[in-house]
Amino acid sequence: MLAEPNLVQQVLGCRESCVTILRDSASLPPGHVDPGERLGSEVKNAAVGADIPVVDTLPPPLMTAPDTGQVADLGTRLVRNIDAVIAGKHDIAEVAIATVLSGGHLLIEDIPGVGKTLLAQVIARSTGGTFHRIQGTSDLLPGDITGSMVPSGRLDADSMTFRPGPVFANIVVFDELNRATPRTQSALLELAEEATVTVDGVVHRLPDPFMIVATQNPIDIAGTYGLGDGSLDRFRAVVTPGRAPASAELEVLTGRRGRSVLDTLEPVATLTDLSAARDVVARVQISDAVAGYVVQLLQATRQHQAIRIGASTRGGVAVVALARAFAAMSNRTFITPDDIVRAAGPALAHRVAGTHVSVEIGRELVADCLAGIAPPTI
Amino acid sequence: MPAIGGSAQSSSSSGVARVRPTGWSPGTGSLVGAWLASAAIARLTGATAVILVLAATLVAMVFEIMAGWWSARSVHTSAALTPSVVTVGEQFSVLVTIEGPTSPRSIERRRVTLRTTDGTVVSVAEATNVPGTPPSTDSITVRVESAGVLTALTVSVFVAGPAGLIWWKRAETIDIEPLHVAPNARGPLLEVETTAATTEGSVAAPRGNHHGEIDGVRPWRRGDSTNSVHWASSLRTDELIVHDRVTVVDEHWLVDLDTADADRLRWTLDEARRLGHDVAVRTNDDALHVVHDADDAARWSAIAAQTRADRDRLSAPTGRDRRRMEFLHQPIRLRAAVAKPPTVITGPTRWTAAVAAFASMAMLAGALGGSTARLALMATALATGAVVSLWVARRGGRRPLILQATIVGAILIALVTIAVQATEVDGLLAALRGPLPNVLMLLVVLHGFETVDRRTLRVHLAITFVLASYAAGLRIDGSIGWWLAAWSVPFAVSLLTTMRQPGSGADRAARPARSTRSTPSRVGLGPANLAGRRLASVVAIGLGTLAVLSLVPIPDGPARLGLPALSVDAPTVDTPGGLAGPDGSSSTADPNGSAPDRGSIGATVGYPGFTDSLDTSVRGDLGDEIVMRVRAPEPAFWRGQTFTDFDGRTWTVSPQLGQPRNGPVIDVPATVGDALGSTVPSSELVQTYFVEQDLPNVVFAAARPAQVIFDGTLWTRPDGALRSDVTLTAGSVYTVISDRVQVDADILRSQGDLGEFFAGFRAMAGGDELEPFLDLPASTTQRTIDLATSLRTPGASTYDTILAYEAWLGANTEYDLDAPVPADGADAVDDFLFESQLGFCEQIASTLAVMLRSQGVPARLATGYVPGERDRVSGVWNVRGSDAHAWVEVWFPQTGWQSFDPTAEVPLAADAGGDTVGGDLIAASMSSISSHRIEIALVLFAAGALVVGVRLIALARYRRRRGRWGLLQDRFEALADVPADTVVATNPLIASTVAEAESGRIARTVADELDRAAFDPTWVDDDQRFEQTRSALATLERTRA
Repeated sequence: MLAEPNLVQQVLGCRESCVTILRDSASLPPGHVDPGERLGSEVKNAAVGADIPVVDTLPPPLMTAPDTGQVADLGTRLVRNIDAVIAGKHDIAEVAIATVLSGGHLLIEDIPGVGKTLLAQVIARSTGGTFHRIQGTSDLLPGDITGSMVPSGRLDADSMTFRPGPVFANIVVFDELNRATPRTQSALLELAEEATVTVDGVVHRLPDPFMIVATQNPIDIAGTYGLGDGSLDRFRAVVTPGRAPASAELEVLTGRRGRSVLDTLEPVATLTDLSAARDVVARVQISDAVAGYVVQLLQATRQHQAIRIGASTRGGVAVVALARAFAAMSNRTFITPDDIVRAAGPALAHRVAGTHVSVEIGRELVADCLAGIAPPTI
Repeated sequence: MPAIGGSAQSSSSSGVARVRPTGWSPGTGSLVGAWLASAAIARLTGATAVILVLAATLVAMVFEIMAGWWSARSVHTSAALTPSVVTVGEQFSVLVTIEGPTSPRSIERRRVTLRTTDGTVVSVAEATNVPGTPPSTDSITVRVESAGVLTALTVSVFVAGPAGLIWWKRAETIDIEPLHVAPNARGPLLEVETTAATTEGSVAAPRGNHHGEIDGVRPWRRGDSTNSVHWASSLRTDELIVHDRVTVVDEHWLVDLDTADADRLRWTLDEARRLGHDVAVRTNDDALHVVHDADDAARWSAIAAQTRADRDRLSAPTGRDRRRMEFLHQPIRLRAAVAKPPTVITGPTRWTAAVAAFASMAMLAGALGGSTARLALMATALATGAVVSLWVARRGGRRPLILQATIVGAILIALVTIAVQATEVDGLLAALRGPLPNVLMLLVVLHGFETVDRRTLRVHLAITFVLASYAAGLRIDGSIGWWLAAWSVPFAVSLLTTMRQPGSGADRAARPARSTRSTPSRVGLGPANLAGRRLASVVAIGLGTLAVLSLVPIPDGPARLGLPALSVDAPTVDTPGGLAGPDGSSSTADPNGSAPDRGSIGATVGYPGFTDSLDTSVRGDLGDEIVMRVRAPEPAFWRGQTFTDFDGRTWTVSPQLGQPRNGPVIDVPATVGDALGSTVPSSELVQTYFVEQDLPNVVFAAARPAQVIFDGTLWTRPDGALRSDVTLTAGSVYTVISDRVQVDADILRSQGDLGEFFAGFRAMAGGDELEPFLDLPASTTQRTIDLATSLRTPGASTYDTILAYEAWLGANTEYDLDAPVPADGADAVDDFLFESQLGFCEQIASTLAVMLRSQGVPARLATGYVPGERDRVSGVWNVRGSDAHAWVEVWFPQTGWQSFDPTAEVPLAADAGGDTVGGDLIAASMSSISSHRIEIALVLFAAGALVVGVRLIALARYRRRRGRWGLLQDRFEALADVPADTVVATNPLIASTVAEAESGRIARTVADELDRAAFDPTWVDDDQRFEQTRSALATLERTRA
């Protein structure tokens, strides 16, 4: 599953290909046949073949500057909303919102009681979309989340009707993902990737925008099914909120923040706003130098002594997509190395850590890799 | 990763760190041996060049040791990651972060030692150097073979200096979170206290049956029923996974930790968990600890094992027995793959060693007069050896039989040849020049075929070291310095690159290429910096060598043992004891003949001072060729003959022949006027004469020769001169040990007016022996005597009188080799003093002698050579034909004959010497610098201009490449004060560190503009924006200043 480093460089190193591939994979909103996946597979084919057919078929790069001002506004509002509920987690809030704006799925991993579920709920409520929540258990079946055919009470051809499952919402919070069986996990992640649900031969499209916010608990793992490397790779970013500082805990206990204010929270965006913002984010530009920096980072993870398998090309795509959101949130139409540095930790930590090592160590390893590469300058 | 547990801890160093030397690399001993052998050579030959090499290698070795120590000091083990629970015999990884030194090549071995709480070593793992830039995380796979709790981990890093000769060990002990090494579970069950405590009052099911609610899955354990296997998970994880079940609690089990067998404890706890019982352990203090899961069970069994071990240790005998008991109890078992350190050498290293070997052999062959064909043969043999040894090294050190047979055959043939040669050898020096160097050279060539790894390479270099020292000891020509350089540079390069691992260059190439836009300031130790450090090291070693040399006195000649003497096919002298020319024919001048034409003698060595009679008006063109080289620590007149009888024009040698004495060791008796039993201390001056041109049979020696080592018969004459019965042909070598009275000006002055002294002496004791030295020629004119009397201050010492004469001669006469011949019958002294006032040394010396004799001071004329020019590297005096000289010897009653000369500057015995090799070298370089001031200034100026020009061009190219925005970026980065723990210094981060509140906004603006210029594809250069950014940056710089 890991392309040869030099092939990755070959693919990402040239201007058109890397700009276009990285942009496109993030730009097309989910809900269609996933272009990222399609591109991913074709990139692999290209790596085998001599030339790169992908490049020829894609439209030329968009050179008009996107209007990032609105995105920056939206991002600020959303982050402020999270800050209003969850104290002292500004960085985490920014990563979460960047994931939302980049159109990816978010994994929140931490010990119980630090506000994982609350964070997911705030995101859902702030964006004003529909919101469903699934609790992962070992007896949860795929049909329980996708929905299934149920008797309609009529005796004609439509004797069975499709009853949509809880995934049919804009924001789906999946608590304790690792408690669900691998079978259910796979179903969830596959539908997340495809943005469609197929039951009984009928394709049901999931709402747009669609985002999964999954949580999992790294300790007390007896009786759980740790996500495999492949499953982890599907999440654009992972955050570990960690314990709140003492002052924030005081505010939670006195009811000034925390779950008690969740109900008073008003949506600060509409789904249309969100879709528009995603379009803008997708058009944020990346220069060759910065793309080369990402390629170097990917290679560094592959050569690091303590990393079993380095980050995949999809990992690099995730870094760039997240960096795009960061750039747009800073009201910039292009990515700087600073965005890459901010995006690398959340986007790569779970990918380099793998199944058996905690995300915290993964983040340190990514920082280690970053420290070994000089960032580009003018 | 271990199947159970797997939580990892990071821990910081507890600060226990030691640096100690651990030994030397294989082959280092041979280098030390070579150094000692060279020291012996230096002692035997007294060659300065060998001392130079010895000092330089000594300083370099000290540098190597210091550099290794310094590198070892900079190694720091900052963190270790270990699992928390493992099972005995199970392999697990320990991640260790080792930082520094800057050159990862010098770290060759890293070793991790695991210790229990009491320091007992339970596992040692070693790994070879993993290439990577520091800080690096090393993964080391270890296996612990005995159960217990480990709380400390010792990381030993072995670091060597640049040449990898001496190893230093940096051992750092790191406290880790307890690592529980659990024993393998083993039945049967322990005795347990069982309490029936089911909620329903009865046991729910018989033992062994699975029952209860499914509560997730867990790995399979012994005793699990196949019915409970969870096949889906098993297939996914590739190991057996079973349903874990919880039941309502039906039994409490209680185990005493104190009494338990660790392995049975684990079995029991696991069994209890398996059966769904509630289980707890009871510790010593009666506290109960509930065992929650299998990891808990493993931990408790590890603790039990540790408790048992501690108790056993406490009850064991003390002292030595106790240590033995411990050893028996917990044997250290190495279970990690101990990788052998790499011993491969690279091709370039091998070839540089071959070049060094060739240089040393060529140097030795040059000393012995080898032919070009022989050199070509040696080069071919060495190259073949290098090719073959590299081929053998690639084959993993296996030599084919045919090669071994060829080498053995070559050895035999060479040994037989040398043995045949050796039968014709006669004498020590002949052996030193013939068979011994041949054996050494053969050794180098043959060892070249065996040089396949680091150890053999070092041995090979050590042999070339001995060879080079040998050659430097034998060689006395001026090119020795260049030869030493030609040998030492490849020697050093080869030694320094020994530690380079094959493919390290390729690794460098494979490193991810940095963005061409990245600036060097963020890169760290760049190649330019490294080169600067290397240059500084070389300069430091050079200065250190000079410092050491300035403490080493100039060697006082060869040791008494092993003084060489050699005469080469010399023609025998016709008249025994008589004088002979270089061809052996008698060279007695025709006493009746007219004065010979000046220059008619003509030959380089045809100096009339080496014949029976010396016409003061004859000198001849003596040429500038080197006639002999003298190895001696200090300068002196190399005296050949003395003349006493003077007739106003010609000095004549005394007809007494003296006694023939046979070599090789000849004691020379004292002659008239030699001070014996003087109160002034004397010292030995050992001189070895290497004859370069065929010379007459005059044997040169510094006054006063006491012993001569000469391969032949010597006539020791009563006038103090020495003659051999054969002529001295080119290539002859002999040694003279002179007994030099350490006179200085004060001692000479204190002896007063010798005229008065000897007048009184003659009045008392007659003193016929003095008469010949006081005889004035009949032709001596009154005005000469008057001049001598007038120049003498009454009552002044003779030493001052002599100085006054010399001063007058210096002021009123001129040295001129083309002085006119005095008219027939004229007195040469008178003519020189009052007519021509032009003359050369013979006339000047004769004049001085006559003037002194006229004042009653015994004086005679001596001929020979002035010391010549000293070669600072080989430490020999190069004596040329034109250095032939005549001077005056004055009889001082207390200190003997003392040489005086108005023209040649030869110091008094006590003032000469006492110099050091380093001081000598510095003085020589200083004098050559001062004599070539303008040239050196020009060269320095040109070099400086070149450097400045190259820097300017590089700067201009850099500026063009960077562009104006790039230069702004450089200035911005220069402002940064980035904290050390920063991962990546991007522009916004720099901006945040740059300034305080008011200029922080400006800094952010500058950072934004720079980032936009660098990374915004739609960016267009704009003069206005550039000017704004530039002025903002200037504001920032002013604020910082």
